Amino acid sequence: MTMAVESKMEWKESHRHPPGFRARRGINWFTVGLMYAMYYMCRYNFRFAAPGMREEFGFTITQISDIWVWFSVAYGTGQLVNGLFCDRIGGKASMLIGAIGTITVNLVYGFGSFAGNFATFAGLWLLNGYIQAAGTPGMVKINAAWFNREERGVFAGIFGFMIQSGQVMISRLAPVLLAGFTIGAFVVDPGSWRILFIVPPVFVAIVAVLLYFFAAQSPDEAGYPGTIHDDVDNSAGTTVPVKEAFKFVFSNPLVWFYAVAYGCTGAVRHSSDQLSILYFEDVLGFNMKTNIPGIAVNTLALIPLVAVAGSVLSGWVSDRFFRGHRYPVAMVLYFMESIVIATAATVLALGMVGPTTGGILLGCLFLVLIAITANSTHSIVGAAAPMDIGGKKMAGFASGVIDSFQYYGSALSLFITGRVLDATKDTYGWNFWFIIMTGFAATGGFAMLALLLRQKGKQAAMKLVVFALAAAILFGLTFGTYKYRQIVKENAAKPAAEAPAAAAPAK
Amino acid sequence: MTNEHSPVPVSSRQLKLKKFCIWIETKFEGRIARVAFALHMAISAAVFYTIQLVQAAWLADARWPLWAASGILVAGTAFWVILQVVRRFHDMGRTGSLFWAVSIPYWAAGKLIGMFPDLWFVWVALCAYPIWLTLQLFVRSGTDGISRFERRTAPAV
Repeated sequence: MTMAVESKMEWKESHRHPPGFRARRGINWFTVGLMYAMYYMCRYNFRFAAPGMREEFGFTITQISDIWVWFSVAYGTGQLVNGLFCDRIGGKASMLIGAIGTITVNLVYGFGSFAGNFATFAGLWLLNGYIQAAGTPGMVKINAAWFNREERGVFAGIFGFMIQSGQVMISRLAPVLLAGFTIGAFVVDPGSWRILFIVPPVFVAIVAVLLYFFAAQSPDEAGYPGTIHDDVDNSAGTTVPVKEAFKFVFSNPLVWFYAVAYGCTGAVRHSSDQLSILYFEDVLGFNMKTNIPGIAVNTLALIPLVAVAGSVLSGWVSDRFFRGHRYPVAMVLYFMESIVIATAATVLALGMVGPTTGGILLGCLFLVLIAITANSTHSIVGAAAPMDIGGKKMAGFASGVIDSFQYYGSALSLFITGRVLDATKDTYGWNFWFIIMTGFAATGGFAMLALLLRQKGKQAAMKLVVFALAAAILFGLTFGTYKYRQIVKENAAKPAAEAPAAAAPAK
Repeated sequence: MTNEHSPVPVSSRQLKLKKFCIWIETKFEGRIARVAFALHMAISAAVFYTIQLVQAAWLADARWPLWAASGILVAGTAFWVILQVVRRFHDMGRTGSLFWAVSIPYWAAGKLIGMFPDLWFVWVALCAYPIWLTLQLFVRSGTDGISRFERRTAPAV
């Protein structure tokens, strides 16, 4: 027997579970995952309602985007607060409270928005963001209790699948609802966007009932005591006092390294997700309003598929080859991501991406590659690492802290990118979109490198990396702000300079 | 931080679920010979075909409970097929997880061919290994004795 086969057999032997355990865990995981997917249905329904809301209330794109920004800020903050309480009340209770909350807010949004104004919508969606933030800590906490450290990577990959499935479900359901339908005396006219906030909560309610009856917070509660070994705290039970969770997680340096890296994941993931439609229009010359080309539809359909494949593969690699350590795999992924995005920036600067056959294929290929790398880090850093750090008792808050940074990173990235693109689009096209994403991806890689050095006991090297990273970020921000202001001034001066020149021939 | 594991009360519902899970896992841990497998597949294919025919011929304008019933029948047959494939892999001394290696590439290839009809070579590349595995399911003989993938609760020989 070769070494590889021997180690594989050894791994398999050490992960033998009692009869029925794997099936029971499958049922638990399916119910919890489905609940999380339903959360996504009550979140991504908004983007399908946006055109209808814009038509009815005359909202601008900035106002629609601002509703999203409020949602993100509330979601990030909610992760911090709800994660802490989740460790006190348990993952199942946290997910059920979140489900009831999101059902209520969505129904209010759907039924009570006839006399709505911007403040009402923003306020309700902010509330939804805060309540939805009970989902991730709850889900991560339940699964931390059900999986050994070396099994969590793959299941974190499946977490990515659940997210994508929620998006896919609402993407399929929304067009059907918006097309209008009749059930007996109940008639919904085509284009009634309010129905998007009334039907998805029904699905959430059904799955919440399933969760209540089928999910168990830990194997102990399901009749499998001592099956899973928790590296952090192996004693019975899954809840701890708020103070203990706060102290343990906040004083754990690993959390902060992962939080910085995850902020970078959020920056790239949300930037590429939210701005890709505009990129299709501006760079590849697609009509994304009325006649969306097949290649755009196929690229957007391919992205979730490759994202799931990347998530599962990276989780499996970290489980099998790195004994459940996430940072080496995450570091490689972040650096790969930065190389991919830097290549995309170079190719775009060389004029190879544009409305030609080759240019369109290249442009779409880079989006798919970015999705693979971004979603792979999303799963192992956002789901597997908090389980490893917090164990079954404090995974909720660990996940809350780390995941909140994803949304803060996303808000920062979109805030910077929007302004920089508006200022530079005429001169440099969409180059700075990729350049900004490269910066975030590289930062994530260096954060993981610093963690790797720390875990290997190389404190001096770790401090050097952290110092160099901080200096680079500071320099980038200072120089970037200076250049941005210069460009804005030049742009403002342009119309003034062009006006006399345009007026001269007329004379 | 302690390492103790004191017992936690288990509800009767959770105990029933545990029993169900043991039953279902035991079902998957069996084995099936190639001839019996082929017979099961032929019967399953016939059931699928019949359901499709019935749906097309009589259920087009039928009420939803009939559609739901036919859907449940399809799901039950699909479960039966999965069960037999996993058992057959066990009979060959291989892990039942290979079921995913058979099913996912077919599904992905179907999706891809729908999106990019010109990329037929990708379809061939994706399906080559699953086709090879499927052929093995029908023609390869089983291993002797109890395989390590077979019923884990059974006493070692």
